[in-house]
Amino acid sequence: MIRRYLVRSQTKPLPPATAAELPSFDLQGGRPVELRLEGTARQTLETGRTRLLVAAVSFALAFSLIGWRLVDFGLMTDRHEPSIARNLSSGGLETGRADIVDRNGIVLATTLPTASLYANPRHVRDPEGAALRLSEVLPDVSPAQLGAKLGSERSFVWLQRNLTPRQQYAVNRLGIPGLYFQREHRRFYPHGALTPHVVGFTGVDNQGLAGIEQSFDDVLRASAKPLQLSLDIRIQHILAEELAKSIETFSAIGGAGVVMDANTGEIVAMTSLPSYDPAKPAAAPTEARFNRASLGTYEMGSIFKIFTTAMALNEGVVTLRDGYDTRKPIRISRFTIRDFKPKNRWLTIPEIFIYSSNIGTVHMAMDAGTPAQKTFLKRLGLLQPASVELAEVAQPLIPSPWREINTMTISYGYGLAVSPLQLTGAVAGLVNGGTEVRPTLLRRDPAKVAKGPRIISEATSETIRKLMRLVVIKGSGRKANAEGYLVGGKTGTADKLAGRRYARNARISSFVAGFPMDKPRYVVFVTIDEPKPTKETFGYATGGWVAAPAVNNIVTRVAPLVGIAPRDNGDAMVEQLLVDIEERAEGRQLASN
Amino acid sequence: MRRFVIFCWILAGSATALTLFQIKQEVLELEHDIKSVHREILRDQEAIHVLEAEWSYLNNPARIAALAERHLNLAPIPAERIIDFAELPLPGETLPGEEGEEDGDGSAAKGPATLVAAPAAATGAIDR
Repeated sequence: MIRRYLVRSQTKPLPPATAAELPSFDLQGGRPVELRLEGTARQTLETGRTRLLVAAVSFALAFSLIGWRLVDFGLMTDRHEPSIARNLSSGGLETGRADIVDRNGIVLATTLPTASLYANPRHVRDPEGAALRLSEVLPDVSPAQLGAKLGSERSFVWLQRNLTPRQQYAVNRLGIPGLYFQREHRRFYPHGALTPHVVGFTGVDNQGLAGIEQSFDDVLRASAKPLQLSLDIRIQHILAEELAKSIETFSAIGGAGVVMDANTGEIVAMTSLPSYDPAKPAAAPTEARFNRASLGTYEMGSIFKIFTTAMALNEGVVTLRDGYDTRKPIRISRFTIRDFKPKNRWLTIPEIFIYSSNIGTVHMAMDAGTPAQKTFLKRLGLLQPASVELAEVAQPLIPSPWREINTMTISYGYGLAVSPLQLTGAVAGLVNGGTEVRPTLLRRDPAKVAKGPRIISEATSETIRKLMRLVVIKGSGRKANAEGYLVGGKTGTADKLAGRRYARNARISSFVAGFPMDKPRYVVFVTIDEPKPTKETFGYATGGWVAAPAVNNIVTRVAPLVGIAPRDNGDAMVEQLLVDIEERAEGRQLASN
Repeated sequence: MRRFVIFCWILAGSATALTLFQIKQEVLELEHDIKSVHREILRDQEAIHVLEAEWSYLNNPARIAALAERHLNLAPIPAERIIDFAELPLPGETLPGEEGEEDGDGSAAKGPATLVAAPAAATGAIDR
């Protein structure tokens, strides 16, 4: 283009030169001019020269460009250029779904390449013999089935999907021609029935169908980095084992347990029994797949007295030196509220708590009033579903409308059904100094966990800790007193609803505990569904007889694992309180006599 | 002169071509090597992945507990046997509970041997 333009502009403006004009332009510097061209000949030559020049310049440009680029490639390093190593590298192993690990990095769920065995029967020479030898390696398939498959006329038959590495090795060692492996990926749960309610399971195409597998499906698919949970597999095992023991001892139908870090809200163990094998979820009964810890809601019974007492103390409705007369049962409409083990006297607030007096607690709740109770329970997170990273989270069963009778019954744990997870979180918030905890299944850095909003004052939290410790030293929770670990807790026994009435012989026995109670690190909750009394428990199947011993064992086994050193100054923290109670009770007794 | 220059050019050209060919061959070989190394890495990663799963499976607490019970002559440490470091007796001293014992150096040697120091404060991960 350019060249053509140049040529044209050169040709056009040149006027036809004449011979007479030439001498005045002496281009040869004084030397005699040998050749003189005139007219069109000269013009043509000029054009030719210009064209040559232009062509030479363009070629020179092009070549210098290429040369410069060569130097650029060879000598200058381009920072945008990918290095060869990265370009060729595989980018690591891709399994299509990230692992799930516990807080110590133990694998809870992983995707493994498996080999599926297929055969081309046309290449199998001796179907009968091959089937016989194969059946020794693959015990799931009968030799007759294998023989029929290998003897068929097709060119492709599946023999068995997803072999174990050992089976694959064994099949390879048989050296039968005509057998081949197809690589596939499959989700594995090395700990089987220990964690299925938390971890969940996946379907045939490795899509998450329950638990963390479901709620973190996108994350697990997208990243190759393992997802670290707050669970500790060792504590999970201890919890599951002790629960199973209790269920067996008391011929119960099931149970649930939660161990939560009282300060960070991390759930270090959560189990629901009966459990199931996540490798075969379809084979498990619905009952086993149900997560009692987060999806089940239960009336918790006397455990709610912690909340009522905390509310009354925190709102300033009562002080520890106050008390109520518990001699008369409370009658409201067609109900009568009685004590399980009546003391038939005036009781101080600590005594009402320790002896688990329904009457005293109801008085406390009535003095605080319905709105205060509602606000307080809401602040504890008991009126909304637990905010945990699971899809299987229960909506608490809240009475509507919330009448006076509801306030009364809720104060001692009837009429409001919550999940064990909600309850554990609420208790953790009360004992950890009074700040809300947010239950989580993901590991948190303790340094990065901000304190939640305040629920109760630090002083009330300390009082509650002392009261819970008293329950374990002197009250209904004595069987939970794990030596040296300052356990404090509260028992709860609730009759189950059978239709519209409460069953007398079907109950839920639970125990919630914190340890060590001077500065709680963990909250343990255990609930056993429908325990039957045994000879050893003298006909009792209450929380104090059923769940408290389990909590004792759990604390005794867990505390050394998490580095809590045992101490024996357990009574020091409540001594003063005990003296106070006795003084007050005696004084009152004398006054009334 | 002109011939010499042309000769030089041809020599330089063929030398360059030869070197280029040589380098290209080397690069091809290296690429082949790196590919096989990558394949090997991938194979190893996969093996590690499988072994990690197996390790986790073998570390099943229930299984470890059963094995420990069968093969080890150990029992859980009761709380009263864990004491503070400051409470450990100095050599020659006897423990508060063992004062009744008479045989001089025997009790001093016996005393600390039955004690277990408090576990480290940190949550110990399973050693792997």
